[in-house]
Amino acid sequence: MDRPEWAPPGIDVERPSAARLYDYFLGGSHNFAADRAMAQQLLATAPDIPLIAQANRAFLRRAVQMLAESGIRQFLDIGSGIPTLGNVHEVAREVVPDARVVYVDLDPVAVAHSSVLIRGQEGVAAIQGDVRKPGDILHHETVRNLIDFTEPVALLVIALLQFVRDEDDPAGIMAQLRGALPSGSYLALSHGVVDGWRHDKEMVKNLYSRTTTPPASRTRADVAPFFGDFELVDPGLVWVTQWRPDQPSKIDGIKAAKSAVVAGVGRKP
Amino acid sequence: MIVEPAPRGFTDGSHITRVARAWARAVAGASYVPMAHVDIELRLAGFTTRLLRVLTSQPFDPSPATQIGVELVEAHFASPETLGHTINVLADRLPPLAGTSLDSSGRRVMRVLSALSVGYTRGLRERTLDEQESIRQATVLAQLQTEHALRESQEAFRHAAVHDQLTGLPNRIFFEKQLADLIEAGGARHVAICFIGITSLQAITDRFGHVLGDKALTVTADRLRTLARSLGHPLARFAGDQFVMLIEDPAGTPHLAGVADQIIATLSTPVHTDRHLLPMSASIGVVDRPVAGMDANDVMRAAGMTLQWAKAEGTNRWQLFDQARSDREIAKHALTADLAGGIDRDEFFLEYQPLVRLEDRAVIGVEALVRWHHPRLGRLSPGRFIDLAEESGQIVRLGGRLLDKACRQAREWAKLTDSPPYVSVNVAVPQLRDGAGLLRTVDNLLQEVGLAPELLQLEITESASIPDDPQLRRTLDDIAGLGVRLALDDFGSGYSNLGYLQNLPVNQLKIDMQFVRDWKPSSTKSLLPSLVKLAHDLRLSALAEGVETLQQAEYLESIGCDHVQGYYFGKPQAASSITSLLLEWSAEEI
Repeated sequence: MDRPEWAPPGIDVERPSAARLYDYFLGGSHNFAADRAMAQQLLATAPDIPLIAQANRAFLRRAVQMLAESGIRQFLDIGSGIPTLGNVHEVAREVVPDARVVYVDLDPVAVAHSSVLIRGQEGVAAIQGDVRKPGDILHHETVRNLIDFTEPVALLVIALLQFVRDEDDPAGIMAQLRGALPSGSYLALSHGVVDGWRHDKEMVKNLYSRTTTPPASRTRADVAPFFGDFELVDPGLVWVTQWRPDQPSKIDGIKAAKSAVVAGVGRKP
Repeated sequence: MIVEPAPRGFTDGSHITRVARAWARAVAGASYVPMAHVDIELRLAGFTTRLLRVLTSQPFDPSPATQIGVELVEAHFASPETLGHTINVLADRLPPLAGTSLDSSGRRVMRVLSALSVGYTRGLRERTLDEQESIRQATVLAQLQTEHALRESQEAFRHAAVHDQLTGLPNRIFFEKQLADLIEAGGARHVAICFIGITSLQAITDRFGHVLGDKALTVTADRLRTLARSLGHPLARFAGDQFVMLIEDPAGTPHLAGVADQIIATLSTPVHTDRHLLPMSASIGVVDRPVAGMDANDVMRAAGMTLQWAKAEGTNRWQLFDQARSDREIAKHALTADLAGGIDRDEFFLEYQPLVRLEDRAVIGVEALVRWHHPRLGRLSPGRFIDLAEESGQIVRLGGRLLDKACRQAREWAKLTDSPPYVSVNVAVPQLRDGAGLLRTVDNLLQEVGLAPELLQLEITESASIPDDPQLRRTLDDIAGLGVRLALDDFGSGYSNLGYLQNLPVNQLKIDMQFVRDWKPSSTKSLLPSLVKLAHDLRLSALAEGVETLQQAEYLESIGCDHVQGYYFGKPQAASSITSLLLEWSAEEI
């Protein structure tokens, strides 16, 4: 039977979730057998995935650090996933001790886990929300309580939009989210793209189609418009490993183009 | 990040840094470490320094390396690959750091790395188990939250389905279920229903719009809710401006009257809004029934009917259901429903009552009187159905049929005798309002039947609306223009505006029978002479209705009344009887 429209999203631990797969690829154990089984299949096709996940996670850390250093005190992290390592509030609060952070995820397990993790911490909250309904997120009571939309906000959309298909109008979603932010706000965005992907695209896509959020295929050129009229800060929209790396080191586990993720940070004029 | 100083005498900081850098490079990508590279190198340098101290300890004790293994995992250098790469790098790089002065350093390194591995795997296992436990707990929590949210949304959904959005009160569906449950449970002996109509609401909405109408309704609902709570009776918004209160086992009619009075008092208080003071009023229909054998639908029908009675009584009234009155109304409804079919089946027929000229007692006309031969109820007099026919609009069709019958009959009589009677047919106001239709019907009929227009008379009831309605006046003029007679029926019983009489194209005043009935030979006060004189002054003939005795007839003759009608001169009778009468008289004349 179909779930009625008004029913909250359910939990199906037998069905892999993108959030828990991501945790697995980062080396975490916040995942279930179904997630791990699929992760193994993905790894057989694309052994670089853990490195891509790490590179993306490192971008989040660098971006949040840069934003906090730029004076941003409030962060809205949509598609925050299972809190693994280096969560936004931890990174931000190293710079801005009273930074306020709201985590938003569709996966109720991810939200519950986040809630436990941040329990007792003022100014940090986790809510369940679907980026495909941006109005619901923007008007969520918790969001309204913690985020002051008259002050600059950092909107984090990290490795999320590749799970929003074109028919769900990601451009419209992003326009609505950007529109809610005041001048001086930032958008940090990363997006898995098919350019430079040297593994079997179809296989990966088919595997991810079994998750609760089937993926979309986009290219680098498709991603740029998500920033709208936001002005990209240096170095612009680049491979995720190239976005303000800690040092020009060869230590990175993956070559830039193989990362298959582009990333950038834009500022609302 | 603080780099611990290297054990004195063995090496300097730059050596440690080189080892740490090599170590960092080896483990890069093996696990996600949430630090910048520079911090990773510093952290590994710290571990290197401590390992070097363990390696060179005197006496040699490798066990502190176990703790370093644990801490490596805690610092998120945590994956099987990381351990492998770590052992590789350290096995190569630690002995040179320790220097060659140590005997069997190779063996010591092995023991240190072995202790490190133990700590590392222990840490990794702990971490895995902790994470698994935390995700399990998160799942349980999420499941609870989902179930809770589902229950809440189900409840909200159910609540919304059976509650009214505007007032938050239970709605009709809820109420009907409640009543049905109550009947089914059979716990109560009696159930009373107060069916409340907010009679002022329509006017408020019409005048101020829906926003204010809703506001008035909300305030009303709140007042009712407060009252219902204090009385302990369930309340629901039934529909629109209607509310219902359910009273189980009411303590008799006085109790119900008390409740109804309280409701009226509560609801007739004006509602204040920002800018208006809205006068409020309500009516209530109260039904009290035994629960045994109760039919919920029937109770609500009765309640609705009783509310209508209360409304008809005026504002702020309540009425108690009356079975006899209800039966009458139901019978009336049934009869109304039968009317159309009765016309189709030609169940209506005419009887004719002679209209007599007093001067020579000659029958100069007959009044056609309708009867209904009802298939179930038998012969019905017009008093039973004419009003219903007017209310239901069937009167126009019925009137047309009767006119047709009467004209054809009049034509029959015209063939029989040289001085045939005119036929006087009653016309109702709705027929007159259908002015053009009536005119066409009459004109066509006269032509089709071949009846002289002066042999048809239409009787119109004295009505308040005629003088003020130019269209009705025009219709009467047009009909008179055809040469058809017009009579004003039941004169003196209605709302005469005498002024208009002089301009009305009528030929005859039919003086209401009450004047004749009230007249006694001993009477010193009677309006009859004046009414006759009035007719004559207007150049109309005067006809007295309801003449039943010779005395009455003689009196009327004495005051100059022209014509009479009544049992003394002939009851309403079948057309054939009139025919016989006419034949008799024409034979006498010959």
